[in-house]
Amino acid sequence: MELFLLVLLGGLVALDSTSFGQFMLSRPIVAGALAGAVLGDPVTGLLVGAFLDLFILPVLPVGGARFHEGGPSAVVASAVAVSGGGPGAWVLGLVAGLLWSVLGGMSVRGLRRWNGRLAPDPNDRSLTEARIVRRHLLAMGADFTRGIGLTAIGFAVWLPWAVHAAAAWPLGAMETVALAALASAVPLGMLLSILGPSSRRLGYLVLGILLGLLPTLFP
Amino acid sequence: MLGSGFGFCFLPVLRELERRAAEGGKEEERGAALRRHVEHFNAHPYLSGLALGATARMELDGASPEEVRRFKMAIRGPLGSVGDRLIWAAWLPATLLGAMTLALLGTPWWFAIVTFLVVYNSLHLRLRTWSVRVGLEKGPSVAETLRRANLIGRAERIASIGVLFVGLLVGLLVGRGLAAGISHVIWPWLPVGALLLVASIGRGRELWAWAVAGLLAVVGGVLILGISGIAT
Repeated sequence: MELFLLVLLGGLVALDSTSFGQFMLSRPIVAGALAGAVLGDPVTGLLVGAFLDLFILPVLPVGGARFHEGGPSAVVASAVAVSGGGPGAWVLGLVAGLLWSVLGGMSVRGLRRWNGRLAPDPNDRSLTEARIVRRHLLAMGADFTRGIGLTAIGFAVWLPWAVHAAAAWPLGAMETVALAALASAVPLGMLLSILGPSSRRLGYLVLGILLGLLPTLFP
Repeated sequence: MLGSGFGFCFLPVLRELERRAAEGGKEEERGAALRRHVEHFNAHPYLSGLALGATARMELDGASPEEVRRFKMAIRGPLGSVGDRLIWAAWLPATLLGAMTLALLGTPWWFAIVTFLVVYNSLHLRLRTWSVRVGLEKGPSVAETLRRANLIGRAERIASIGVLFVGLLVGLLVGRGLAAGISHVIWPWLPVGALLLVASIGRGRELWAWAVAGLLAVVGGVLILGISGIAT
């Protein structure tokens, strides 16, 4: 039952990503936490989703850019992290999410090519209102189905072995998070570029770092 | 699918045009209007309502098909670039980084998520409704309204808050690591992290692929050490 709900969630967040709503339920931090909640551990889902989001965020869906898809991949990442338990499963969930986000992006591009063929021809004199409605809904249905398929395949590929492999992970929880945090320095740097010229906003960055250190310096 | 999506949203306007044509006793070729609005169109989804509303106003006011087509061609570029800068490059990163900061500060998991969804969608939904309303009111002069709204200026201010959140995240991550008693891990690797962050500024997507490949290699290596029993 839980897997069925998660696969359905994968389809819904795929739909939210572009085709319908864009309410950002498809952001990994949201989708990961929701998937974790279905499995009874939303905090682990939130943590793996947040790191996955940090990696995906700098790859913007601008123009014809090849961006990665976060929603279904976060559901897969969260399921691996929660099902395995412990830092090993968490980091394998993050790895699964990253790889699945790339695969998800490829499947989105494939669907868009198909949508291009499906789009009504403006020169077709027999074009009717009913045909536009039908094709529009068909494209949305295809996106939902793609999300379901991507999530289900992700479970089939990752869950059987990642849960067992996670038991052999030798690092503790904080060391594992530190490793992921170190790797996330790259997307954070890329994000600074996206947010604008860093020289003009250096003061904001330094102020943020100092504020972030405050709870540690003055517990 | 933005082309046929535009046509899909335009169907109520076409029905109104058909009704008016029938009342006026004119033979309106509905198919021609329908075909005009499934032509290729691409803009930022949250601001495309400006084009949709303005085009509807033009059609209802009896603008010629050529005028409508020229307007749609001219407006889609600015709508795309302004929307991308405001939403994808400022509002989304700033609100997401805010949610991550809340999560790291130890708030309940649902609080970070609900706060993000409410704050993000407050602007998202406002932009969607504002753009259709303004488009319908202003018609082809909507470009002037877009310029006066100064959305790029707003994006710049939001981006500054985003940079503040990047700093907060870095500070919180380092601080939490030190507080958790893994300073032996943090101190040697902190310069490496700082170097990676600075080196990534201004770099493109190729570095993203290298970062992911590096993470995969390290995770794979540590896992092999764990499985072989070298590291326990």
